[in-house]
Amino acid sequence: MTMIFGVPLVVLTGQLLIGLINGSFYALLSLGLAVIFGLLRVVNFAHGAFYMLGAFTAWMLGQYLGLGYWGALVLAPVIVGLVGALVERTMLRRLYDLDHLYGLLFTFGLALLLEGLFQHFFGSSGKPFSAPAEMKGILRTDFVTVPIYRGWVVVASLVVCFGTWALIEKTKIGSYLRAATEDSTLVQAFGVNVPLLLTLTYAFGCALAGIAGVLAAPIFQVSPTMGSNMIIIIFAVVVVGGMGSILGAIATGYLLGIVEGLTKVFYPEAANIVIFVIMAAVLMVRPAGLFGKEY
Amino acid sequence: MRGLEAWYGESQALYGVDLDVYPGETVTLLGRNGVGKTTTLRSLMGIVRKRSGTIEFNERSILRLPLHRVAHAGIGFVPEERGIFASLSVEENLMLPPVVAGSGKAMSLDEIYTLFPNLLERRHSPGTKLSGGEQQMLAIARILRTGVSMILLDEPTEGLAPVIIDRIGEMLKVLKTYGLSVLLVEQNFRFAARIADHFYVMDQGRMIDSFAVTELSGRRESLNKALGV
Repeated sequence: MTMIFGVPLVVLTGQLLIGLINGSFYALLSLGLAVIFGLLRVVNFAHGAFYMLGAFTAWMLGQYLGLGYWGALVLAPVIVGLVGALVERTMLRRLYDLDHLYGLLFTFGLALLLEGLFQHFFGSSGKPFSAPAEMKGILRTDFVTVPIYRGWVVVASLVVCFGTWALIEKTKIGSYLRAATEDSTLVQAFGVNVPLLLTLTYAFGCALAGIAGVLAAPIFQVSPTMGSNMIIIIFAVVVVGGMGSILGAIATGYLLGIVEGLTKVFYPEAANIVIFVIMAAVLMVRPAGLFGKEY
Repeated sequence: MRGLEAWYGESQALYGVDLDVYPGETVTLLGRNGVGKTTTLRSLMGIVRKRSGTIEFNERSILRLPLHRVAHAGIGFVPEERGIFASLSVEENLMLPPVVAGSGKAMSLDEIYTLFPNLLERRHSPGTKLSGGEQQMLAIARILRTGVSMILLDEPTEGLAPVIIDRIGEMLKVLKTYGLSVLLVEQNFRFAARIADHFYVMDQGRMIDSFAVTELSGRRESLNKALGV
């Protein structure tokens, strides 16, 4: 058996892969947070709840409408995005003129509300959600063993992350978003419907969390608390990467996932806190984050 | 614009400001720092929302329009500090403001690049990598592309070298031949004197004087006093 640093290669690559999969979720979620924060200056504490909502929507679509995984993967994020748009239009919008703290408090309250609602109606225990039949196998090679579904999660997350990056950096609507992130009043004075842009951005960020939720459903159980478990780590990722940087959020997500996976191999006791240790270190050296701009 | 009053929070910044700009005319708003010139532009545009009075443009009241509709009524805004976006390339900056409907006078990208060859050369650089003068050209050019019939220009010569100021003056004369109305806020009186048809003078949030360019020579003295030159 091949060994590296006294660790069997298969164990190493296995943990690396788990790290990469966790990193996929971190990247998708922190990307949405970064997009929302960049334009709306709202720290979206409800992001974990929208992730949970994505998973639950997928589960409900299957349970009540008999929709399969692929249908849910398309439809659930759209529904989560619509819920996000509704929240922005009817509630969040009213807080833009106030201190940013109100946006944070509101979304925190919203997260508790959503979590509470789902606990009330579906209980605290997780609901099983299975991967599509064609992805149930395991891919085995000499140096790595991958459940096919988990490989798919990594690929899907990479595609969505870089698709989002291209949308923001290479398209017309992306140029509105970048400009409005710098000076939304001026962009609106030029005749761009910025209030609509804010709604779409919030909806899009929430839909990204919804995608992550559907992707996560077959790996973790679908449970009301899955979002609040995740959101703390995501905030650490965002702090390390720096608020408002798109590529920074993506890169930091994958990087910290991998670091966490490797820590499990070499010093398992620290695996649960390594991200927070890195966060503390980054805050001391570069308070704006690795890729962040000063605001 | 009649009886315009505007507030920043609780403090009133404009007191009953009257101002007319006729089609094709270049009007300059003079006054010392902090007398309300920029506030007048920003209130007219709708960026300062807390205001009262009457603002009519092409016989249509624009006071109650949401900010993003004002541009579509035909007014373009070139802010102080130019408002060039660092995260956008020169060309993206140029293409950012939407073309407004029904004007027909919008310049095409080709026409703009013919008028501003520097921008063509550097169209893929980030907007803020341009020199101050080029940024000012870009800020004006991107409004020309929208086809508005009136431009609000806030201190276009601020911080620029005399030779660049001359070029911007030439450019504004070209705009006149296109039939555009220009409302210019300017501290540089000599620059304004070369291009304006009409002048307004502000002090402490009020309009204190107004005269045509033909009356300019007889007013030098009182103007110097009002402007504190």
